[in-house]
Amino acid sequence: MTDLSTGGISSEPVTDAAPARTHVLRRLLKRKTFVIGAIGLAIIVLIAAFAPLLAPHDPLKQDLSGGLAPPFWVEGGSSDHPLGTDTLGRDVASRMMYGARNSLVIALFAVLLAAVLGLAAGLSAGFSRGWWDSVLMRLGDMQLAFPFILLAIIVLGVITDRSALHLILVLGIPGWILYARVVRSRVLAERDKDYVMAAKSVGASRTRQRWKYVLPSVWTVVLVIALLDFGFIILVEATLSFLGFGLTPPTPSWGSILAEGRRNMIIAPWLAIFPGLAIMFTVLAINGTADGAADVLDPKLKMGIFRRVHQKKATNVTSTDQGSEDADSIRTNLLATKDETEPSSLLEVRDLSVEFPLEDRVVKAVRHVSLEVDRGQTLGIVGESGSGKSVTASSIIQLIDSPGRVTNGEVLFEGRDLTRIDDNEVAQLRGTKIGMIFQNPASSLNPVLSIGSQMVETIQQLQKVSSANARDMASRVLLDVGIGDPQGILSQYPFQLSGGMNQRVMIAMAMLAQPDLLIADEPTSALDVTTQAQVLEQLIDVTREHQTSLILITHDIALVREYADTVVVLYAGQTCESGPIEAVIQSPKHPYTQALLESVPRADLEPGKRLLAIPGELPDPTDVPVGCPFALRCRYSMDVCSDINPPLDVVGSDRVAACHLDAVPTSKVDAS
Amino acid sequence: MTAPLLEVRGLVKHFNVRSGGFFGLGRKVVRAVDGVSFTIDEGETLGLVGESGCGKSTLARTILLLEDPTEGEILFQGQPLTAKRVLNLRRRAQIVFQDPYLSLPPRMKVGDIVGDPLKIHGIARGSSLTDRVAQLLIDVELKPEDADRYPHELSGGQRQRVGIARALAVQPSLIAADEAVSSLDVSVQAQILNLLKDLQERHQLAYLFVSHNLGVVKYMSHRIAVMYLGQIVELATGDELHSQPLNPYTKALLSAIPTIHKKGRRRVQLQGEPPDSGNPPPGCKFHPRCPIAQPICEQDEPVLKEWLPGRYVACHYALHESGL
Amino acid sequence: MLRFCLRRTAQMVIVVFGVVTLVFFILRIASGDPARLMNPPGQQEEIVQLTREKIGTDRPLMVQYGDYLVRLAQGDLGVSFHGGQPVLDEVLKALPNTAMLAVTTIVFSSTVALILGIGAALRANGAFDRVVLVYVSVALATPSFWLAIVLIMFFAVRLGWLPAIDMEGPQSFVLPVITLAVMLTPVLIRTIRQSFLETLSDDHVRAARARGIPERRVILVHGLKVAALPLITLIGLQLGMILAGSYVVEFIFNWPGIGKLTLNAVAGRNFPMIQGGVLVAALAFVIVNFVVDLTYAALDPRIRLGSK
Repeated sequence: MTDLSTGGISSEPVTDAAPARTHVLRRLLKRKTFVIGAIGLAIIVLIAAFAPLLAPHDPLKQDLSGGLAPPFWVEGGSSDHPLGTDTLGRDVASRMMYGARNSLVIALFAVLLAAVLGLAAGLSAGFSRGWWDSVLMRLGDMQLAFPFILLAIIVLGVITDRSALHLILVLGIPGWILYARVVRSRVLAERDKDYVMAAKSVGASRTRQRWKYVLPSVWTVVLVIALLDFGFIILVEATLSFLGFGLTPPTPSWGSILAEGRRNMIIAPWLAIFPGLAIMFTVLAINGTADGAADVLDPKLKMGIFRRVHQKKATNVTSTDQGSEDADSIRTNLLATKDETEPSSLLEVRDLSVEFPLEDRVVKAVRHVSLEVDRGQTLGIVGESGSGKSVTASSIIQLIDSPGRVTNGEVLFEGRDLTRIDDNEVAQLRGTKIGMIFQNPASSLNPVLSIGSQMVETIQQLQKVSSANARDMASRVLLDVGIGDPQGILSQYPFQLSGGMNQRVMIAMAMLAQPDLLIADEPTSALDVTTQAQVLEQLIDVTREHQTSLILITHDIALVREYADTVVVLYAGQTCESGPIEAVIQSPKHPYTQALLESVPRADLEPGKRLLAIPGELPDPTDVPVGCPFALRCRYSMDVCSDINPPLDVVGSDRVAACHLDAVPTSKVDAS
Repeated sequence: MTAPLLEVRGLVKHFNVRSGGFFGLGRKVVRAVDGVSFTIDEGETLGLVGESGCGKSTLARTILLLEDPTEGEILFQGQPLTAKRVLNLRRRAQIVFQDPYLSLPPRMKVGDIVGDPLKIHGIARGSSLTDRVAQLLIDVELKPEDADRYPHELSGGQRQRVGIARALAVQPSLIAADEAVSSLDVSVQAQILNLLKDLQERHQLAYLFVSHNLGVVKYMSHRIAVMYLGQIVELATGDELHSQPLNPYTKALLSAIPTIHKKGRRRVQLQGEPPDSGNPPPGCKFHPRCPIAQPICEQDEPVLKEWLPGRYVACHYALHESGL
Repeated sequence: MLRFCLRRTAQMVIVVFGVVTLVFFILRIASGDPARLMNPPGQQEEIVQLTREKIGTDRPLMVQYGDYLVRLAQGDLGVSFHGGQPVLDEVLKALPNTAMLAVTTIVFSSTVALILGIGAALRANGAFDRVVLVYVSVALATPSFWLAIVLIMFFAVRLGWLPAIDMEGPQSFVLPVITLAVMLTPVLIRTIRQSFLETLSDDHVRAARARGIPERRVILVHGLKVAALPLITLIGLQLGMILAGSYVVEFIFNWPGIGKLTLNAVAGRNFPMIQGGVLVAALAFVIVNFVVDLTYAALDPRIRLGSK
């Protein structure tokens, strides 16, 4: 449902609860790269700032008799000139300190200039969206086609007395395009968002919309880029000095010392090495600071490369080529090693708990959930966001997004505990005995491969058949799910099909091996109502036809009523109750189920009557309360509810519920 | 008889989009709203229901002049809307958006967001502004202290309340709710719906309630308009629509909704795929999928007519299936 | 398709034209009098005037510009201020040398970056990943000219394994290519790693796993196919970076390419030669990017078949 876009990090329980607010500075200080980088940068800045006090000599003072002296630790050096001297006898250490000054100041002002120009250009281009935008972008293209450093060389090369101002202008002005592009794309992204239209609707003028509403979200990106640009400009300035186009001598600069070092490579190698090390240290420090800050200031840029990455990855799966084993032989293989207990139910999840340990907190997504699916039956799992329903589903086939892991419980499929067996064997079950389809059909298919090639791939996974045969099989299966023109569909790409079509293709692919169990995670939530009905009917038909058990996960309890035999109701990672669908709906045994039924708008509600709204918010999965998670919102809550989490008790034939009440009072609203 | 609060006549809204061709350089015209007429009275809720691509959101935005209409007239309190009267309109009609995460500016505090309309229209300043903002927050069941918080510190339901408070700030007579609860969790939806009802009673608000969820629409609305591909195909009260739908699309829509009660109802199976709004079928736009389509449906586009008192349908065979 | 090509060609012409014009005017407006510099200091005015007439800088600016454009349309890039050789010849002599360096560098860098980038992405947060990221940071901070000098000092001077300068034989490619590769690889690795990480988190990859597709195939076919597309645009980027880096690298290694040619021309205020060097660089950049965009479009069905 709602998605927190936090740059690649995905933790399933997207919660509706209010997130905590940490101060920017504190978050910055938590990043090691930022701290180390900032310290290094501070050192350089201090040296540069206090150069007159720290430098042992006047950087311009020549001593022709003492030229090319080595550093103090080498034979012939002295502590008087700790890093040696250059050809004219000038002290290298002092020249480097003053050189630091020049480099930093030039780079700083160049970056400021570029940032200001770029921000202005980017804003005007992004807001205008017309010919002005095209003109600016063409200008930028033109500039990018022209190597920046060459432009600098040409311009500086024709100026005889180059001062810091010249360098600042030459290095700064062309930099505008770097900022303008990013600012422009940011502006374009923001101005289409609803809040800008909302500003318009309350009467904000266009100017006000831009300055008060859009700009605050845009300008921070400039900071991040400026930090990175700073390091880059220092490198460019050093290169220019090296080539002889920097500050006119005898002004000290790292690049010119290095140039001298090159000329005297053999007799005085230190002249070349120290300035290079200084440059590297400075740029490293700057980049470290920028890297650490980038994540905090502007996570959407995804520039911080050192942040911990969470990827959706099968936990601990090592791959083996499945080859082309026949589906049947897989079946017999697995049956042979089956456990002896409880063979009647196809799938039994017992007391399952799943956790996501994040950087600073632990998300308890699933807490002691149990469910059961018999052969040929349909189980509905109902829950809102944060209920843990999707994580439970992923756990069954052991495809939990990293860093999630199972901390308790068992998943017994045909008697074998999938959490305990070898990952290769679980991988073999996927697509053969257990299939799964997901919520968003368009993004569940590879966008650059045709439907046909993806289906053929899946078929060839299961059986050794030629491509031509595989395509025929694919056509037949597509007909099964109600697609009229299978051949036409096979040669198309996912983006060319509607959502309903794509989902049918997914169903067809999942049913290829005629699995014993199909898990459908919100398969129609992204579809229109009429399409939803069509697709669900198809799903039910095809699963019934092959006697495939179905787990249907949804937030819509009416859907479950229509299509499921049994139901499990989840709230905040826990089971509230479960049982046959009719019984649960007619007489719910948990206040949440009852409240849910009453808060959904119904067609036959008498006019003038109100829905019974459930007060309060969904709980924060990182801050799980002691006691019953529903206690705060429950209309029947008692003292014991906040203290003790009620266990799952048997409350009827095939029915369990977790509530301290002996019986939930029948409410006035009739659910029949 | 007082004039209706809002009257829309023959409203059309076209978009020119880039589509198809190599590198998407082709162009076509999307007729998002294709000739719509209706009225809303003071204090009334008109529901607008339809599936994706039917143009309901575009219609809501065009009425508020957030998009420029291509053709047609909009009359507010009897006066036609012109470019000059836009600011005037902004005080009388407001909108609440769907996505609580996108509809609030991320770097502004809640108090600023809710207070800005008051500043723009010069309604209040300084300490009276703060007081008004506090009162608005209380009206939407938030706390005055929440004015100092940022949107990302609030939950989805709370953010939606902020959006409602913002809309209420200018004391409008009409609020368009564009899928206002569709992105919220089920257990929170009813809270917001009831809040909207309370506010309607207290402030005599009219609503244009847009949603794809017919159950929610029926709960909130006095009358409901069903839209398909840019046009209204049926307009009636909620009860009439539910008990006796006259348009085949409405019937299909109703039958497709899963309901908690009455398992196993007769479902109207629709053929084919939802249509492409840039390339609509000739004649009646629904005819390729309609179970009772006849040759005339392909040639003549049916007009929205009053077939029964207060009941408007756009179909050549509106009364045939219902046995009237 | 045709429309696209025509549009892009027009854009390319405008860009190159703009670049060349810009350089033309900067040189003549900002620079001192090249004729004076070509003569010994203190030379008499009449002799300097003769030089001016010879190289054509005595005429009004717009005349010079018009003349230049006319000649350019005919493929004549003018003659060098120093020595009078046709600029086109000199440029064509130097171009292959830079081209060879560029191609070798691109192939080498791309291979290294793919291996390191994908390897790091597959074991994100692991030891290999950390090492790669450290390399990226250090390489980004390394001045190319310094690295070249250090490499020369170590491998050529001290160890004598490789030649220090000049383009002679395949060994002479090693140090320049390494220097350029250290410049290029950090950005490449970062982009590849990021692209791969994102693709591996995509829904369709998860769905492929759920269908039972083995992990290796998931990565190589599903992951790579989608992640590879943005990588193609990197080739254009690489060329741009090599062009920029060539001025320094060819200078240090005395490589007889466009970079060295242009640099010397700048030092000597040799306007036609400078313009020739700039023209070639801009053309190369613009053409390669065009080809890259075309390839990208051909490979991505979403663009090829025009999605909405």
